[in-house]
Amino acid sequence: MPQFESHFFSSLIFWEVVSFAMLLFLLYKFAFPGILAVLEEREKKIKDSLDQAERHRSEAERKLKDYEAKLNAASKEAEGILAAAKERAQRLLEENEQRLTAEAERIKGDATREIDHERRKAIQEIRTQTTDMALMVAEKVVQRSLNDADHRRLADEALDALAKSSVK
Amino acid sequence: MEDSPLHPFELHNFLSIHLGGLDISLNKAVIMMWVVVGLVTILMIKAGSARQLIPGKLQSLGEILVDFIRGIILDTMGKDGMRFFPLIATLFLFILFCNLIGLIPGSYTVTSQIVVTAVFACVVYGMSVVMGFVLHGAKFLGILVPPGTPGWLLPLMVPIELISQLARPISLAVRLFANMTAGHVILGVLFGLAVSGGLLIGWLPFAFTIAMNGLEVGIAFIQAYIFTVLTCVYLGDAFHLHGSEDHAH
Amino acid sequence: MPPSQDPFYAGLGQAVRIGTELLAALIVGGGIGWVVDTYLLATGPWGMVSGLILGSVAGVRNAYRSAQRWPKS
Repeated sequence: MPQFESHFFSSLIFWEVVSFAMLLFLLYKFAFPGILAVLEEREKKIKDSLDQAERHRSEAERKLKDYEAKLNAASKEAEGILAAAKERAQRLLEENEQRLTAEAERIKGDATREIDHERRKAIQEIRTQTTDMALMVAEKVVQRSLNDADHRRLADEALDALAKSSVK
Repeated sequence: MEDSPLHPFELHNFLSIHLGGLDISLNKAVIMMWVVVGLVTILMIKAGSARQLIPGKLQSLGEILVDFIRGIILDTMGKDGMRFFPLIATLFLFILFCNLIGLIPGSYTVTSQIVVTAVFACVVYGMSVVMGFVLHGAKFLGILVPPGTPGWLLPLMVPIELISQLARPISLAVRLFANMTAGHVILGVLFGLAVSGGLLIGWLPFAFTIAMNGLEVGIAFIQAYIFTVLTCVYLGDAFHLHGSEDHAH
Repeated sequence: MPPSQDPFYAGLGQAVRIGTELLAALIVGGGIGWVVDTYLLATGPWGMVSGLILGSVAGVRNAYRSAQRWPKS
C-alpha cells in the first residue's frame, strides 16, 4: 500500500502538526469566540422569552382565578340582596294585610256601635214621643185632669205592655 | 485509470525541502492540508463575523458545526469539557474537511494516510493520559482496574485493561484510515469501470459512482464524528476516573 | 435538538465503531505477545497466543463498553 511508504512520513507529520496548530490558532483567535457568543446569546434570548412567557401565563392564570373568585362573591352577594328584598316585600305585604284587616275590623266595630247607638236613641225618642202623644191623646179623650205623675205611670205601663208584646 | 486501485494514494514530492535533518518536502497531501486550513479558516471566520441573531446561510453553517461539536462535548464530558472546545472543534473541522475534500476527483484524501490519523490518535490519547495523571496522580492507574474486580482476578484483568487502553489510539487511527482508504478504493474502481466500459454499459458503474459518492459524503461525516466523540470519551474518562471520584479498588 | 443527540448519528457511530474496536485490541494483544516472544523472554509462540487471547477478550470488553454507553451518548 502506498500509504506505508515511510519516506513521506516525516514531511506529512511535520506539515500536519504545523497546519493543525495554525488552524487551531486562527479559529481560537478569530472564529470561535464570535460563533459561541452568538449561540449563547441566542440561547439566552430563547430562555428569557420562555421564562417571560411562563411568567405571563402564570400571571394570567392568577388573574383569572382572581376574577372568578370576585365573580363568585358578587353573584353570592346579589343572591343575598335578592333574598333580603324578597323577605322584606313579603313582610311588608303581611304587615299591610294585617293593618288593613285590623282597620276594617275597627271600622266595622265603629259602624256597629254607631248603629246600635242610633237605634237606641231612636227607640228612646220614639218612646218619649209616643208617651207625649199618648198623654196628649188621653188628655183630650178623657177630658179628665189627672196629675202629671199619674199620666206618666199609666203611659209607662201601657208602653211596657206594648214593648213586651212587640218583643214577642 | 488502468493502474492499481491504490494508485490515487501514491504521493510524489514536487518540491524537496529539508529542515535540518528533517525531510519536509511538499507533495499533494501537504497542499491539501493547506487548502483545508485556508478553507476552514475563511468559512469559520466569515461565519463568526456576521453575528446576526437571525443567521444567514454561511453563519448558519458555521453555527450548526459549532453547535454540533458543543453538543458532543456536553453529552460526553459535561460542562467541564468546554475548556477543550477549541481543540476538539479544530480536530473535528480539520478531519471533516480533509475527508470531504478528498471526495473531489483529482484531489487527495489526507486522512487516508495512516501516519496522519496515527498522529491525531496519539496526540488525543497522549493528552488524555497526561491529563489523567495530572488530575489524579498515581490514582489514575486505577483506570486499569475496573470497579468491583475481586482481588484474584487482578492478574488477568490488568493485562486485559492495559490492552484495551492501548487499543484505543490504534482503533482511532486505523478506523479513520481504513474507512477513508476503502471508500476511495471502491470509488476509484467504479469510476475506472465507468470509463473503460464506454457508453454502452458504462453508465451503470457511473450511476454507482454517483450513489457511492453520496454514501462517501455520509462516511466522511460519520468518521469525523466518531473520531470526535471518541476523543471526548477518552478525555472524559481521564477527567472523571470511573465516572466518579470515590471508586472502590 | 442538536444533531449530536440525534439517535441516528449515535446509532450509526456505535455500529461503525465496534468492528475496529475488536480488531485494534487483537492487534495490540498479538503485538505485545510477539514482542515478549522475540525480544524479551523467547517463550516460543506462547506469548503471542496468550496475547491474542487477552486481546480478543479486551476487544470484546471494549465493544461491550461502547455498547453500554449507548443510551448516554
